[in-house]
Amino acid sequence: MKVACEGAFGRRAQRRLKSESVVWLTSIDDLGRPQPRVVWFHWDGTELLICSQPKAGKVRQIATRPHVAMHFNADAHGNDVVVLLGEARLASRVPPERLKAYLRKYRSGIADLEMTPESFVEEYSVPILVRPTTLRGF
Amino acid sequence: MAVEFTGAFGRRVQRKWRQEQVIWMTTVDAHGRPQPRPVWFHWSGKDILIFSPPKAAKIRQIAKNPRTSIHFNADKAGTDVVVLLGEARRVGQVPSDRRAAYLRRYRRNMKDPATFQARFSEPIVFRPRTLRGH
Repeated sequence: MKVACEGAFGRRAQRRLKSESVVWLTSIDDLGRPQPRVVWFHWDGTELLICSQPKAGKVRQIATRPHVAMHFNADAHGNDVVVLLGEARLASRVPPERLKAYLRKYRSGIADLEMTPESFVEEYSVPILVRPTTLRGF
Repeated sequence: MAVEFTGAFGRRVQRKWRQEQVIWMTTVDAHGRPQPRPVWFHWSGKDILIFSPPKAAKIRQIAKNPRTSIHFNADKAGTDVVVLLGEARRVGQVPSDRRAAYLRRYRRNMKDPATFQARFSEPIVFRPRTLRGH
């Protein structure tokens, strides 16, 4: 199912998916605990692409429990809330142009890590794709 | 075991307890999906007090699975990250001075404390076990 981003709220969600540089990704660990962390992502209108180190907790967690939640920071008062529920999967590979778009988005972020796009892809070698199924917020 | 807030990172967390208006509370629903939402809170130095409407999803969710995570908003670049893992439980009653401290914290955000308390009538206490972030 493709999540419908319609109306004023849906447009705001789309705008944030396009413009924000980080999103909170929460998966569930082996003990049933929600584990939130901040990740870089690229949104193509259908799915979020996240690149992970192979040994990261999220890779293990998503392999067995694909249900995840994503949200952007709220404002200081707890307004401007955009939460997406979705299904995450480990993708063995992603189309090169998609990966290029991700690397373009984080060109300066990767440089700040003192990495090159090549060394970044080598270290963050596991692509994760998340398909949102539910959008909520206000 | 209580979580220790020491060092530069711990001091930053202590400051956030005072300054931040909302925290994100993530519970797990009946389908095993994480469910995040921002909530108002009061930190006592040991645990977090949250008030909820009795029929809110988080009440059902923590009754089945108390494992909960709490985090503050990050900054734009995602570098200021504070995450706590622990358990959230309904407590029925809270000491009146604690309730008063919560209401004082949000007095500017409430039209009327009595209406708020009638609607958000279920106290929840979250006790952190693990602190992580950077």
